[in-house]
Amino acid sequence: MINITFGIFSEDAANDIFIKNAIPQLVSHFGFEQEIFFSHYEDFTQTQNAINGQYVKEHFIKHVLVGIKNFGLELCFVGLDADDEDYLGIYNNMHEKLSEVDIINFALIFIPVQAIEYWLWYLKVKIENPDLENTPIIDRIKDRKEMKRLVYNRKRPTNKKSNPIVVSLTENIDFDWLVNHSTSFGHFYQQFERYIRNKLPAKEEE
Amino acid sequence: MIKTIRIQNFRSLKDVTLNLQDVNLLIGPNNSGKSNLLKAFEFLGDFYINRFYKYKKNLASYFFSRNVDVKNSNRNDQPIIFTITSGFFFYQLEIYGLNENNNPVLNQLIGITNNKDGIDIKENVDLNDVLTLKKVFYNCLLQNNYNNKFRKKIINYPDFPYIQKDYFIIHHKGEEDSKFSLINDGVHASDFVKAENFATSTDYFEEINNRFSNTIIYSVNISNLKKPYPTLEDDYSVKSDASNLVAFLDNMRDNKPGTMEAINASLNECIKEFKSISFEKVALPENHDLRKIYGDKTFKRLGVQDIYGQIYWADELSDGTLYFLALLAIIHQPNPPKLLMVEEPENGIHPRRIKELMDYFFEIAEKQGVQVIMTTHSTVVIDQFVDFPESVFVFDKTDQATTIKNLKTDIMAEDAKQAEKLNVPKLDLSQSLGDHWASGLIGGVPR
Repeated sequence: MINITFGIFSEDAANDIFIKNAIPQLVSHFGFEQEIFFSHYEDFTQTQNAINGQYVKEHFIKHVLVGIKNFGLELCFVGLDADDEDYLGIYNNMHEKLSEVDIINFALIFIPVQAIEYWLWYLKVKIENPDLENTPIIDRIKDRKEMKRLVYNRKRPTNKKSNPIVVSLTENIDFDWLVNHSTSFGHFYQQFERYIRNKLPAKEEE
Repeated sequence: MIKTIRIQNFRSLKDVTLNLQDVNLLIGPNNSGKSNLLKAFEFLGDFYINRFYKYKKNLASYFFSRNVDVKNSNRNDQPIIFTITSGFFFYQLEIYGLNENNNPVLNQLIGITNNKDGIDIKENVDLNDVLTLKKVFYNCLLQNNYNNKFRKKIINYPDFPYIQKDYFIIHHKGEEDSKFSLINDGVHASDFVKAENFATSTDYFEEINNRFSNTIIYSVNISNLKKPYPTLEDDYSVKSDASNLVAFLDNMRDNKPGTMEAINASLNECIKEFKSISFEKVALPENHDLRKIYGDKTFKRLGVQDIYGQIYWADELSDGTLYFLALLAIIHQPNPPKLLMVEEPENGIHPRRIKELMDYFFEIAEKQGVQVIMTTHSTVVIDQFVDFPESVFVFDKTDQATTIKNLKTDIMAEDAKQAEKLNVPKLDLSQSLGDHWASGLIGGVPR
């Protein structure tokens, strides 16, 4: 059995809720041969909140390190919305920073393009239309305000209004659907699977 | 300068210790205890100038444990305790409650240490090991009816094994017929007189008085500054809400031109278009509220003249400008309190002006020996302390009790230890200190 204590460092509560709900579901979804438990360190996620995406890009290493040193985290999910479509460029840059201080195995970076609301909106479409097999890709079509209105029914919702909506949209995530519609989520999905596979003991040769 | 203060059982401050600097910045979420720390200093100040009566009615609300029966102080095992050191003095005040005559039941200890670096009062250390008290006396201020049980407690005080009987005196203030009495039979009248002479002639009494007798928490009320104010002759100090700003500045112009010049120069340095402060007499109708209070005084209103000669009167100026003006007056007043406390000095002030403001606070501390304690929620103010981590105190609250960590000696030092242990980089706070605080890196954030 593998136990992993994790925290989340991102720029808003919707990112935190998404990851918190998605991780145990992803573990079941992949169906690993060994039991894997993820324990969320709530206090880390509650206290470490980036003031904006730029701050995440520039200073996330410090927060991952605080997670390791002060909270005993084994894994920190680092999230920021990518206004820039080149999320892979951002990812590579951040990954390099992790590598420089030799903590690659302590962090997983998720970069929704253009915001977490895009991921949530795809989930909402599927929940509202369970039989739908496909929907047009909307990455970069809408602006952030408009996406919030589509997901939360208002342009600038309070957390009190938006958090329950994020919770309900992420209770039962259709990962295949989301991977098929969001390449940025697909990237995170692969990273997570790779991370777990690396944690599992190598199979003995028969 | 107060070097260290330990506060126990005062409101949310169950047990906190601060090693204070010249200028100190308190940061943390709302309701984490920052204002309680300022109130603790105010409480001490009021105690020192015999304004304790202010607290008698609601004394229980000042104890950490709200269940304290202040009228039954002998049963109170969690007294409010202030322990203070500077380079040479040691002072402890314990407040248990009120006696049957509604006077405070308290202990006071004052001593001198020969250790210029002060002493560590964070833990219940054996002071005998770390401190040489040359003289100690006990001053039972205001306590008219002394009770035996309490007296026994003092004599057997467990934390102070070094107290010499010879230096114990009791001072019953306000009791003419028994002005002094001895705490036990072992002390002779001659010893007592010697001790009293010693106590009143030494500098440390004065030092404590200077520190605490003029303690003000400045919290400027802008709406007052927009109104006319009577010009009173004794306004040489700015009141805590700066409501007497007009009278104060008017007095400075007439009687302390150097101070007025300094305020005008600072104003012009920070807001280039403003040249100097102006005043104008205002005739108030007889039924005006201020006339009812102050009678036939001369009332004036405040204005600022710009570099083109145009005067903007207080009700035309922005709240930020008025607030800034009040802060300049507080900083430049001829006899500033030795302990200057300001709540959220950033209110209404443009971020670009905050650096100058902080420079003034550091200057007044260095030049006039004023110790400054500020609270803030501004990342811009915090950025000004990036080279002074020892001056930053991070507040949090756990189980109703405030915790306070010094950025340098607690947070950064602890981080460095962990970093070495885990072989990872230590915390780098060399830039964006304010943003790091807001993002939770150094604590003191809401959950």
